[in-house]
Amino acid sequence: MNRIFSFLALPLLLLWSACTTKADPIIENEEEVITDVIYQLQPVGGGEEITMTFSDPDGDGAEPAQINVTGPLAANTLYDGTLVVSNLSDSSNPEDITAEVVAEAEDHQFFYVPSTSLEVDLTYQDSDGDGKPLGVLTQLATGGLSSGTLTIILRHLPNKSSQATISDPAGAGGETDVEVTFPVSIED
Amino acid sequence: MVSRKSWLVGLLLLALGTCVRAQRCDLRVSGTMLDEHGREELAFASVYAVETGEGVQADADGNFVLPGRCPGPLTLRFSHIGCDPKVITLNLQRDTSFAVYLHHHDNYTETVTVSATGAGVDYEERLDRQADRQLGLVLERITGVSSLRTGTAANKPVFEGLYGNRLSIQNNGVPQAGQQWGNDHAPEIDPWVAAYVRVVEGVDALRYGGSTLGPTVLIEPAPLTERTTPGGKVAYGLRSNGWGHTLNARLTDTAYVAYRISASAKASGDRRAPDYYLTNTGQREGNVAVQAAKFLNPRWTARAYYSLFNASIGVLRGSHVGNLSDLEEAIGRPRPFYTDPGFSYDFGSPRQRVSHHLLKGELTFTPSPGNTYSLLYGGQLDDRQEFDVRRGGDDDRAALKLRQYSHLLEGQHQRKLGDQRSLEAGVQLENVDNTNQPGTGILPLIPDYLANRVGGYVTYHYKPEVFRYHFGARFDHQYYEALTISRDLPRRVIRYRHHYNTVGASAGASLRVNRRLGGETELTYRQRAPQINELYSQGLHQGVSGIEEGDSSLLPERSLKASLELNYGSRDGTLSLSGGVFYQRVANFINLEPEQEFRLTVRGAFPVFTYRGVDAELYGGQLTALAQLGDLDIESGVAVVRGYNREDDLPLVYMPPTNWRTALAYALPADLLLTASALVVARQSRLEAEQDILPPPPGYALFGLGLARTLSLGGNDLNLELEVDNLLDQAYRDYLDRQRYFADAPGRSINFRLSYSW
Repeated sequence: MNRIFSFLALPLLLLWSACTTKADPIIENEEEVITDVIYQLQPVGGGEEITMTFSDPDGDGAEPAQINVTGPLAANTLYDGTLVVSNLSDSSNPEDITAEVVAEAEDHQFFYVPSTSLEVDLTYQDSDGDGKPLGVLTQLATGGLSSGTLTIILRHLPNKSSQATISDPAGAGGETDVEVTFPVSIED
Repeated sequence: MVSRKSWLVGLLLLALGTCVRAQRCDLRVSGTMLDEHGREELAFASVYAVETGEGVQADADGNFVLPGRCPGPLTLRFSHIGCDPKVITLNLQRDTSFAVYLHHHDNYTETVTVSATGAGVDYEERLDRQADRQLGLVLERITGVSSLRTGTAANKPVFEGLYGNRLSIQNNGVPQAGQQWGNDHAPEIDPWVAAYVRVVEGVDALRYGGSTLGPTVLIEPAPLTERTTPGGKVAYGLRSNGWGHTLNARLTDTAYVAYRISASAKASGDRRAPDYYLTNTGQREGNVAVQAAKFLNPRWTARAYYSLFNASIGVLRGSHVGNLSDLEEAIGRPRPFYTDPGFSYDFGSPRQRVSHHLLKGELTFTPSPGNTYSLLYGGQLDDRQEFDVRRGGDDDRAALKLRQYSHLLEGQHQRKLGDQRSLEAGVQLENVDNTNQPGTGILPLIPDYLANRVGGYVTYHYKPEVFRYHFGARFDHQYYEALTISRDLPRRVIRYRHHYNTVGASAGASLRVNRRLGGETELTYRQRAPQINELYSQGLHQGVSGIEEGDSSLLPERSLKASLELNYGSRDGTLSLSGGVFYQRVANFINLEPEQEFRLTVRGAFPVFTYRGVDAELYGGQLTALAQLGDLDIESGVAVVRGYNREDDLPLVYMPPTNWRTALAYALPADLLLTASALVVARQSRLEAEQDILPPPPGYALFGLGLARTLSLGGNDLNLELEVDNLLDQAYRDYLDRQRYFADAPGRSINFRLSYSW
């Protein structure tokens, strides 16, 4: 009996001392992540450009996201909108995700959803290979003085034949890759 | 003519002879009842003569005598607490003596739950007939067991409200590895290899390692013994829902060693809910297992076991969502997104691919009867890959890729101290090395880690006829080294080390009031060290649209559970009733709880869930009845469980609603067996609205019907079986199904099964 226990005690001791360490894991290069969304609005007849920026370089991490809008939109004005999405999680290797989205235009669609109080109208200015809207390029027409929010959504693999419109993604389905909301006001 | 007359005379004489001898009912049947391994006599086991309705009891050494038997057919039913009963039919002509072997779970007798389903069929055969189902669904037949599902993709047992890290699964005596990553991973075990599935608790569970708060699920193949005879079985099954084909084969033989080879292959396509196909729910599976035993001499036995489980599992396409708005939109739909109008065997992402190896070696030394030493090694390799729908044609690049090696070394000693006392002790060493494989392009949810555990246990059993008791204790030391990757920038590796000491102790007693009535009670204290996912989970859990975060400061759970069970068995064995209640109180119950704030990310705002230790209580009960009314066998069981977080008085999530399961079997002429089953699951009405994004689904009832026939083909058995699951094609959703937000559960399935054994 005693011999058995001393026999068993040997590997036990080995294990106690073998609080070994493991090699460092390789930190994945997060290629698919989108950290930054920039919506640039250029007045058609010239004027002050407005830029809306959402930036969250640490992704799901606890660091809060930064949201910035350079200024109010002008009333009754038509703007050309350009959307840029990028991955800046690795500052030494910025990635342009917009190019990826355009390359797979059939599988993607952007939606621009203003809150009801905000007087803006949006239209698609581009399309995918099938003639369905994509939404990297848009036009935004402002109405009278008002304020509210604008939510920009990117859906992956939506149903592009559904009833969904640029400002109402209901029914499109798909998986949301981007959903960011900006405070917007329209002033004189 | 003469010859004919003499033939008639002969017949008459024979009949007369029988008559004459029938009047002389003085034959004697005697024997010994042993456990299957022949190591232990089954003290005070029961023997019941079916024809005459008489019963006798074996003595303390398992010996029985049935005097005064008449010649002719005699049916004997042998039973023992904790064993599967066995029926032996013989044509008695002279005094007869033999040994009866029952499958008995080592030297345990108490707190063993025998799987309940379609009586009238022996236990191994019953499990074989379910080999085309998922293991979790096979386990559900045990009263008190429910399953936590991820649609048709994964299935994990829940016992008395405990699951996942609180319910360990022992595959052939080795704690199943790869189960600590989350609840959407089914145990990688082929039901075809499993011959016995049970749940043990209290003192009986102390010997098992693995993460548990008491109960342990045991899944074991039929053991090879010195009496194992050559034989084999092939089976083919077809299920109409998903058009699933299952092919099983098993061969047992002896050539230098006794061995058994088992293999299974499965292929199925999209399952169907009553109103639509569940697109992308196909599966492929290919498994093989080899068992070998060498009985070197009466003192030494060597055993080896190897199994490989390989599966590729499709996950419902419509259950893949990006954020809360997607989830809310998916919930309101009459049918899931991406539902194809047609059936397909193919499936794409999201999907899982897993391969699991288990290698086990065991050496048993029995220097003298009732004195055994054994040394066991169990090694496992679990390779898991999960594929998501990804941008950039990356669907074939795994989003999660884990490889886990684990090793278990166990030394055990069992000693009989006289007739009725036994002592058992053991030491276990376990090493787990978990590594995320690079190349996924995604930060891992579970970090790389190393886990070493050393543990030991001692149990003592005292088993006289009337009042028995047993007690035991266990100690474990758990060491972790976790290598997490920071979520703030710049990304860097942060190393954490933990040491946890946990103890467990249990005592139980059973009282046999008389041959019909008995009761048992058990008190168990267990501690459970937090697992890696509870300490270091980090990231977005897409299935539930929440960010899950571990807490590295968690303390071990401390649980105290008391249970009481009463058993009644009628003298002739045609009625047995069993009822039990339990109460369990857990301090530091590690619960995934929602935080007050939402976290804003580029995909929108997500709720944050963190693991937190709370004060919890669980209680419940179960009632099982087995009855034989002539040719009709009835088995019925109901289980109730409640769980509360005592700190905020809110119910615990994922507690099984009350469920009631009944199986009927009716023997028809011509070797036909008609079976019927019913499952009634109540609504989980104990959740507050804010605890879930969707209220629990309504209760439901499912019915099944089956017809089986056994034919003799060249002296061997050919078994044909036709059954219907979800007979009424009921559309339902189960509260414990994590895909209930998206789709109904599968509808009706007509199954055909053919098996041939020799």
